[in-house]
Amino acid sequence: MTTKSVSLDWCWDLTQEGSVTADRKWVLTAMNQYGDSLIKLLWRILGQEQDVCDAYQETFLKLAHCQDGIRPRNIKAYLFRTAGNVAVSHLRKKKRHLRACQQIALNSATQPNENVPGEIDQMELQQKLRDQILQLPQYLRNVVFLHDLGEMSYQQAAQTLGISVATARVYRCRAIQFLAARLADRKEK
Amino acid sequence: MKPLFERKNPDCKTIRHWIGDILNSRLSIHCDWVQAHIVNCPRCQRRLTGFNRVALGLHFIKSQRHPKDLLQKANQQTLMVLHQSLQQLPQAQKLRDKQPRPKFLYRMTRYSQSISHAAACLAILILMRCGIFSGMEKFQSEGQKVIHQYYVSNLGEDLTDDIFTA
Repeated sequence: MTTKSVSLDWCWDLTQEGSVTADRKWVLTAMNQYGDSLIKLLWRILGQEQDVCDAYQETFLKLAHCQDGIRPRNIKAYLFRTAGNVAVSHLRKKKRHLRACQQIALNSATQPNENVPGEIDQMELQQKLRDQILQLPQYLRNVVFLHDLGEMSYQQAAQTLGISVATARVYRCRAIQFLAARLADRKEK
Repeated sequence: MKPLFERKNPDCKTIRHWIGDILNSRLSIHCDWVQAHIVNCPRCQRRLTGFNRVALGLHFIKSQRHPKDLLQKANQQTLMVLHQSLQQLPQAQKLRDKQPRPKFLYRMTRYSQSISHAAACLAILILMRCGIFSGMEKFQSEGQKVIHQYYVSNLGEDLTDDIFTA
């Protein structure tokens, strides 16, 4: 009796596996097609190797399990938007962690590092810009991600986000103005 | 194109809207009236600094290249958590070893010298075929005309025609 049920389970597994392979093969195709540009985008947003790998993994897992494994209509748009969102949540998590670490350091009365005034620190500027991009509203942030970091044209970015090209241009302009104002203010403080 | 250069004394508000254009190189910062205003306006200086910082920051971010094997690592990590049947496909194996592929123009830069040399040779050939040979023919016909003229002036038209038609 036991043997019979086991063999039936095995048969069930085999059929399920075959259908999964056929159904989800498009995930691998998408990975092959957009993996390179997705890595470039994630690297520019996150700037850390392990974070990029984690965000990449999460993005494709979301793709594989989106709508119970049904292939989205526009895979490229889905991937890039999901990657942007995943990267933002990673950055936020990291920021929270960093803040907690700084708090601990303050409590233990260690001296913070002070930079030479007026010196343009490349890493610091990058970090500040990333922080400020995080502060942007999502609709502006998406355009910056796709156009400036993902090197997409306005047309491609607009298509991915489902907006018009003119709107994409306006959003990008507003985003840059916002970032410029914030970076100018921060330096004076 | 906006008539930007006709304005003599633009106000702060106008310049503020043009700072974006300055950074997009549609308008030069070296324009006297732009310089004159920005030098005396601390608010515009601050705005320009902010825009410059954003441009510089984006440039820094873009110029930092990711490690060459990052795509490979990310693919391997992702494939590990996908369904086992997908992991065993030959396509998955290819993804595990996949390397980033540079853009077409970037790949062609190594051949740029050879391409430019070949183009120069081709251009010389075309010039020789069109320019020099047609120039030689022109030179020959012009020379014949001059000699004809010389004979006409010294011997007369009848004799010259006899000589040249013979």
